[in-house]
Amino acid sequence: MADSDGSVEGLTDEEMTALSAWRQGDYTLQWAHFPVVSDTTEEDVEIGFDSAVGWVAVTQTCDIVNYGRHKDYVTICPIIEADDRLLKDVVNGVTPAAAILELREQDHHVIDLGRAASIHKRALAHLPRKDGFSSDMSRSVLQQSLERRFGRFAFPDWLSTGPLRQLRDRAREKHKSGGPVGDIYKAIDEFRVRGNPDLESHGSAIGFYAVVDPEKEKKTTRKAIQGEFKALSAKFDWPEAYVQEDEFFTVMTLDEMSARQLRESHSVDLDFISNVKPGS
Amino acid sequence: MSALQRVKRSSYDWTRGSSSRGGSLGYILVDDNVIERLTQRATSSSETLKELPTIGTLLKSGTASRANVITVSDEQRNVPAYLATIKRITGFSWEKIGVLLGCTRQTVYNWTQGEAVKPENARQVAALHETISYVDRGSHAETVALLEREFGGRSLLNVIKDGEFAVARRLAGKGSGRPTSTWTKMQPQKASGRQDHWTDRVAAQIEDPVDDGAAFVPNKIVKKVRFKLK
Repeated sequence: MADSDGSVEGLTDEEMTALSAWRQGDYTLQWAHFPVVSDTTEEDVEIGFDSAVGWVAVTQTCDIVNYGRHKDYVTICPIIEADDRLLKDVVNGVTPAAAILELREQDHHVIDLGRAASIHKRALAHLPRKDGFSSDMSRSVLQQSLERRFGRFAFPDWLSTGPLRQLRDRAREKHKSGGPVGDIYKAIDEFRVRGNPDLESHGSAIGFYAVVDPEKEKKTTRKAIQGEFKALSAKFDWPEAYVQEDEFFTVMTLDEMSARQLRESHSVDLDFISNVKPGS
Repeated sequence: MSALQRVKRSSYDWTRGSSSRGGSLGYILVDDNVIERLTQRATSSSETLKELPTIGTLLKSGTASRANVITVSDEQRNVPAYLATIKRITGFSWEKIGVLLGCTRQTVYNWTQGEAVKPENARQVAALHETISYVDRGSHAETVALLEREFGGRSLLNVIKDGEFAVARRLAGKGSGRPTSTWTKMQPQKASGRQDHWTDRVAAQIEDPVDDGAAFVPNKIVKKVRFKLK
């Protein structure tokens, strides 16, 4: 099968046709095992097969259907049976560990993003395919999960375990109670944080942007938003090594934000901040 | 003497200017349409001039062909957006924008953060916004060069600083505006399928940290294959 340069021969027309039906997020339940490297020694490598429910193609659709040199493989992740807790977190979109599979066979089936393997496109083309998602819109949820798992900006621990956690906890507490403070958090679409020169170097100056929705902002006032964060930030566990900007929390809409402010800051996912415990 | 200068503050109960600059310069701020009407009425009795707008009454902005009706209270609410637009068009610092408005950098920043703005100051910000938007040449460099250009011995910036917004607009003429100003407005995106606001997702989280428990069923290696590499 292999050419002299090591590449694999092209696919047949039938295989190309079968491959062209695959989309990112489509899956197969043909195999209940998932390959992993389970051990290595100086002389050999051990390939193990984990139990799984099936395989999901996570490679982007265009890279699945375009076949050519150096485009021989598709990345797959296993479908697993989640327990109630993991399923709840996946459905709510609060864990990077696994992703939702919209058109799953059973309710507890989720995509485990902790394992991945490669499959040759010829092998994929011969597997029975099932639609994973009903539309590009619902498929985008998988794409967001992949981005979160593999491409998310990692905040330094001092921020994640301190101020960001305090901000998250306050938002959760006030969301439950509703009322004027709940309206403040509802009005905020996104928090962004900027470090000058960065978020890790001692002496960096840190500032937050609260990006508000202009319509939801009408349920509260900008002064009330400022007041909430002034009071909250006074309680932050703030390391002495970092400086707070004089205008520490700045409230603005996207229309008021400059491209520079957007580019120089990082979005904060308060619904998923890392869980490194202080001192661990 | 310009039409605007003929409209004396002492005639009406509506002023412009910042208190931090020592009060009004003796002019009121109105747009071109109002000036034209008032110029004709300037010789009338003061009774006629009591029709001038106060809070909650309607003002007109924009050009004669495309007038927008806004209220003074709208202007107060829109101050943060107006200031951001002025900054985006000119690239000026808050400090420099403060100079144009006759107040400090801190005052301007506070206005962007929801501090109460006096009606007369809101009106002045709105007028500055209208003027800067009107003369916008589409890039920082061109717009700032225009604002720094001298007309009859005074830069356009100084004309604006003196509160002669209508004069500044006439001198500068209408600019092309932002290159994207004619783009269609983005349609609202549909919900993505999960809980779409982060506060809902945060609230849905169980109290324990997400990744603390054994969330997955234990992996079970059901078969092993060893490959000799050497």
